[in-house]
Amino acid sequence: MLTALAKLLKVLNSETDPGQISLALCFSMVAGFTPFFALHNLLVLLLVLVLRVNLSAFSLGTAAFSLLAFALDPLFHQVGLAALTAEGLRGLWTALYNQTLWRVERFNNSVVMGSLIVSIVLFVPAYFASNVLIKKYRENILQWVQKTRLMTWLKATKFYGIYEKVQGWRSS
Amino acid sequence: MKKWIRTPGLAAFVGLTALIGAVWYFFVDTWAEWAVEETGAFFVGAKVDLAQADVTFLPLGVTLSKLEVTNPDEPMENAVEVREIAFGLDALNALRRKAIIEEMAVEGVQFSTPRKTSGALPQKAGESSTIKEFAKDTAEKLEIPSFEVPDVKKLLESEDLESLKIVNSVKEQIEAEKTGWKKRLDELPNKETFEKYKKRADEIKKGGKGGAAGALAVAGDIQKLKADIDKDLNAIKKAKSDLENKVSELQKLVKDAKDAPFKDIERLKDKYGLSPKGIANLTRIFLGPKIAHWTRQALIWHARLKPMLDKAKDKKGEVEVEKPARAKGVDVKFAEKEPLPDFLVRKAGVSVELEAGEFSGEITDITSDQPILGRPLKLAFAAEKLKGMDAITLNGSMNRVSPEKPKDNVRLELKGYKLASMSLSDSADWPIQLEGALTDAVLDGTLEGENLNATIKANLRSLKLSAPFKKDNAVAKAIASALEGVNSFALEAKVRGTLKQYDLELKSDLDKILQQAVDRLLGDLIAKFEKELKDQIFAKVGGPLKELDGLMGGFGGIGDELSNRLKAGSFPVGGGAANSLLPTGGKKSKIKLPF
Repeated sequence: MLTALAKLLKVLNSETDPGQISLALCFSMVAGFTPFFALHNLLVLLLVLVLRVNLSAFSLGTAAFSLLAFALDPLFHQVGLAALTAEGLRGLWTALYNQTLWRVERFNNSVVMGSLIVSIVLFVPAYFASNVLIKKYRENILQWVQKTRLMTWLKATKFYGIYEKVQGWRSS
Repeated sequence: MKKWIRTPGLAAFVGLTALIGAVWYFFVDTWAEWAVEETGAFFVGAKVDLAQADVTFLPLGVTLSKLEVTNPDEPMENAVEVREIAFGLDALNALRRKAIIEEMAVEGVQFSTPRKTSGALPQKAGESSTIKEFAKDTAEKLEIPSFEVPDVKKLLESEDLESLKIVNSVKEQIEAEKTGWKKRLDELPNKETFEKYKKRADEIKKGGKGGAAGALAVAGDIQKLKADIDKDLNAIKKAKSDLENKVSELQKLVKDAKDAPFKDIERLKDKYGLSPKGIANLTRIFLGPKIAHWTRQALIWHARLKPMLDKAKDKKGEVEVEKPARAKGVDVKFAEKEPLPDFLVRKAGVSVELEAGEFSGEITDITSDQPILGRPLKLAFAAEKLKGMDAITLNGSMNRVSPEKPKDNVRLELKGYKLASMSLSDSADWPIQLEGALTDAVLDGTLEGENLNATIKANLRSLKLSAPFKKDNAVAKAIASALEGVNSFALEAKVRGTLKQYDLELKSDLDKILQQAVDRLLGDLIAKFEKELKDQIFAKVGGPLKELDGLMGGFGGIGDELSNRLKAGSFPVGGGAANSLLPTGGKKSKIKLPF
């Protein structure tokens, strides 16, 4: 069972380029900020699985952004309501409202619309920002983390041994 | 490119989606069950239990089994229990989050069934202040007259008699006037004064010198004497006139004082006595609280159902904004090419299981978006030849097509309905139990906005009433006997007003029956009470009243004295030619006292 778990972790941690981790985090922001069972999250899931992005980062990021969404819902509601009631966009929204696919997507809900707008607007800046942060982390902090007692203890466990074997990973 | 694409990911996506679909497929029944229970509890304010929900996909449909909706006022009782609800859904509209149901079958509806566990919720979610308002007892509490003849002596001990006060006040006034008049008499000229004038006249006659000069001097003295006499006589006449006016005034006061005891009698009769008005509307007194209670219950349930028809909507600019029942944010509604409500049941066939048998009908156009649909909700139920009932029809509508002008109406007709034992009056002292009856009844009710207008007409026959009244007096016994002897009566109740303030008017030929039964008896009791009251009041007031007559008699003496004085002053002064100079010419002036 530990081997199976290790193999799963291998899959989850297989894409480790900063760009891959950043992209995963950006997708997780969309999935976390917006209501989880919204239709667009199927597209997000497809992209996350088909594109080589870090699945662990996506999973952890989704959980973290979902928690953050509770606090940001009032902001999303304001943004969404403003967008949906904007006079200039009424024609577009009306056209979408009369299409079944968009009704399933529930775009006319203020929180859905607001969270989608915010996550799309932040997508690109978040990608570049997290890229920079990951590189800085690897250059300056990773070595220190590797030397902490927690990491030392973790590396000594049987599970970590199996994981290393499966991973074929040499410590840097 | 290869670096960025994970080909097995597609298979993983398909697999994951299939897994989610499979999970959804296996759990959709559970989620549907949960959704019905949660949404139902939100609207009703009490537990809603569903034994099973079965969702089918081809075709798309739902079957709900054993739905129990708790009565919020009676947590151990279901307001409604339904054996099965089955309906199909339009799949395309379902994707658009619109539940459009062409036909729904609702089988086995029962009311007031017992529950095994309490259906109370910790907090009554959604209970509006309107419902709390009705929960207060708004029925008018009418006083049932006691029909006890009060003890007059005890009654008079605690009551102040106005008549006694008036009599004593008039007595004081008369006595004060008498004293004043005695004083005035003393100041007026009397017999001695006129005797002196006579002597003076004689002296003038004697003292006159002969000749013209002498006669002139005498005439001059006589004139002077006459003037003095006239002055005194006028004073006496004025006094007599004043006395007449005063006596007239005092007589009026005495008359008022004599009337005062009768006013006391009337006042005390109204306050303590048995009035025929007390039994004029006994039907309303006995049956009113029960009918008011039923009216209140009907309005409470109407208030609970109302939110399901009145969707909370708001406008933001030109678009409508709606708060979804159980989701975050708001849904913004845009114009639809083919507008449809979010929830619509075009036709629901309902069968209700009563003790008497099955009662079925249909409800059409069930939706909370009547302005979009353009038609009101209508219901039509009928049944014939049920056990204990010849026929029953129920028709009604709830119109919210114009939300600012809501209008609901209902018409219920019962024919040959066998009423089982029920309490007509829950009063502790005046209980009335209906042991059985056959009834024909019609209820017509309309609610337009806040304005309520309802009429109930009922004819009860083959009636058996029992009236085990706690009060043990002749009138109560007569009423009980009359009620127990009644085998039919007609009743008309009218409810008019607003939802928060309505009046109940109740008429029945039972009032006439009761009135006839107790009229004579009550009449005798009222007469007896009146006589006793009169005797007791006059016992207290009679003496002082007689005194007043005596006191008024005293004024006759004063009047006579004034007349005598006038007589005394009316004597001839001088002789011959001198006499012609007398103002009165010797005529006696008489004042006739009015007594």
